[in-house]
Amino acid sequence: MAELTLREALNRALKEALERDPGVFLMGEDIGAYGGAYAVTRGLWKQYGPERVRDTPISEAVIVGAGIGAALAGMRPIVELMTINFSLLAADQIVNTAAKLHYMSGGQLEVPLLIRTVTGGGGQLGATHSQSFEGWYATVPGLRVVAPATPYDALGLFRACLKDRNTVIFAEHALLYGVRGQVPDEYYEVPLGLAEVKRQGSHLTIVAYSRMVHIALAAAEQLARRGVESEVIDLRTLRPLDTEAVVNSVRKTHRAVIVEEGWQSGGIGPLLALLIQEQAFDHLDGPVVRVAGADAPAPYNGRLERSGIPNEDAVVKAVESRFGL
Amino acid sequence: MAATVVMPQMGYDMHQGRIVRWLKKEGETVTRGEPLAEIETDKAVVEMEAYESGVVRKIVAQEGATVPVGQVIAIITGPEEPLPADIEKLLQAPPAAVVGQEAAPETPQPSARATEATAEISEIRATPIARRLAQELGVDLATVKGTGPGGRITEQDVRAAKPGKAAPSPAALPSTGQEAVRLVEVSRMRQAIARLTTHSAQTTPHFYVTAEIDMTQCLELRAQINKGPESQGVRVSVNDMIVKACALALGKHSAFNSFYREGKLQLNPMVNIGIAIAVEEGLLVPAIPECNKKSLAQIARASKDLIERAQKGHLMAEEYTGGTFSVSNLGMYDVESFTAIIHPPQSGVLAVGSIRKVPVVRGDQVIVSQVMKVTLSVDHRVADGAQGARFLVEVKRLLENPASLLA
Repeated sequence: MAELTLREALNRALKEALERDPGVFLMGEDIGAYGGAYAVTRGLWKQYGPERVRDTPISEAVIVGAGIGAALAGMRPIVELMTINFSLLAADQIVNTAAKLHYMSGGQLEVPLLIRTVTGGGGQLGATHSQSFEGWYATVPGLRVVAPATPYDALGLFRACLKDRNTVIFAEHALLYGVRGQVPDEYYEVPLGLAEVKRQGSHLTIVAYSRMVHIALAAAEQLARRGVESEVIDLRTLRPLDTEAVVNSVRKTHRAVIVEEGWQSGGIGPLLALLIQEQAFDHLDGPVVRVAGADAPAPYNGRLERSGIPNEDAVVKAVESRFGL
Repeated sequence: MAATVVMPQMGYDMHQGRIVRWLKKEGETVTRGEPLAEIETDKAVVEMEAYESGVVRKIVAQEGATVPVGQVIAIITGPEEPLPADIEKLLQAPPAAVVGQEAAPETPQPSARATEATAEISEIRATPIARRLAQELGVDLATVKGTGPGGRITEQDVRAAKPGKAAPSPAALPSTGQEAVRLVEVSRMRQAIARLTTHSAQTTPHFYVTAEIDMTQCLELRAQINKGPESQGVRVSVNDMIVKACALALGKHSAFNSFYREGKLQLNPMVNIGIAIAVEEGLLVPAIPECNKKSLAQIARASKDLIERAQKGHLMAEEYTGGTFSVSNLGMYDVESFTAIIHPPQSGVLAVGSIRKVPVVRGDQVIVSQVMKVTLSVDHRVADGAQGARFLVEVKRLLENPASLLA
């Protein structure tokens, strides 16, 4: 067991992948000599050389397109899109090609491509560099979408993704790279499509993923001080979605709060709210509550930007006002 | 020309209906006769037609709402006409004054019962689990004070209000032995049957007359008909023959084909005989219209059609409300005899048992006959024992001399 940051856990995951499978290679902007914009690939270029850790031109469509081609040809590419904001330039490759080829070839082709990318706001990077699009990608059949909140889950999910034969969007939150956590030395995996109860509680269920899991846990701590016990569920995978875990918890607690960083009018929350009311309607002791990002382009001003991102106070306030707890 | 659309009465025992779906939206044009909404009664989902052409200016009762018969559910105006200024008055108008109420043919409106159910439209704010629990625990939500946001009644409020209180588990109903007693939902049809039979048993003074009928000849005739060309491809059942016999007998004994109405007897010119049909959710008694004018084969065909459509839920409202007399047959279950509850506003029902082979003394001989017991339930306000006996003897005579059924 070792305490690692999420960045270190991912670095270990990549190293392990390069070590174990000669078909694995990395591609992305500045991931080689520079070590990656978020330093996740640090040291790998030196160790494995420019053939297997390849710097690319600034062209997301090329990075993903080449990745798809390599995957089709039998390689096991892991590509990095510097941020999920830039994935829009590769959206056609991701949505219309990677997600479709297996279906449109009648199962003859597979695209086992792992796309690592950085999501989330809060770093004062302005409106075009602070977005959370993983919820969008989670609406596309044919993709896997993963968004870990802890070093343990990051490493475990990464290993499961490498075994999956579908294209995966692996969304890493920019503000979580420094988060620390215990990671076992021995090999383990975290299966895709399996949520985890990060905290047990009986009065309400808070559902979140990625950085919002930490916000949910902090809110649960605040609520617990006055005797309100929250169950916090970390989705971990947005597609496939572990509806069962959420519904079972809501059937127990009778109240649901969905917290996500993306815009109020999109994301995974509305689907989840629908599924909860469909499958646990008679168990609900209040409306399904959603706490999400402000419906506005992220402001550059730090204080303004923070005001549009859910924090623990916003969650506590929603619980108070909507449930009277 | 603003006209109101009201919850129609689609049957004698319909007090309220639920709006399943509006087929026209606000602002849409509608032509007289076009389907306007789907209405769920206790027995079926029925399309309601518009009685006026114009524009659906306002939908008053939303989808899912349960509304008493006669209450305004929408307002239709002319193409350019705005909502009338006196809309409040329109909405409050008593059911009798409104446009578009369906006059159910041959089944006159019940007197006061149509307006009873007004209080059932809920304004109570309660969470889904609170509503479910209230039902399970027998708590009347109207008596519970809500402590949730905006006064909403929560699960906790219902538990606190539960008689006997302090119930930690939802299944805390009285128990017998080890098995907990459970309350389960019943279908709307079951509720309707409960309401109707209770009403009948409490307000209709029943008496019963039983007779034994020798069906040997009837069975022989039936076998012949079903082999021969007269059947025209439809198999005649024993029940069809009983219906035919009743129709003929009712022609002579009109009291049993009448309705008792506040000191008067409403004599019905048509003999519409309801046949009790067991369906999955309960029981339906659709009527074969004009049995007095139908041949045995026609009755058989109509009966087969009703049974098929009853089981598929495809009956029309007027079909299960137009009966003037009923026949309930449990013969297929090997029962000797039973008594039936009269289906208001009818005055009689014939309960038919199984046909059994029994030894019968004829002259000085003991022979084997096929005998059936029937029990007539009669509304004592309409007829007395002697009349009942005479009617039943007529039915018996017809069935024992079945050639008369072919008339």
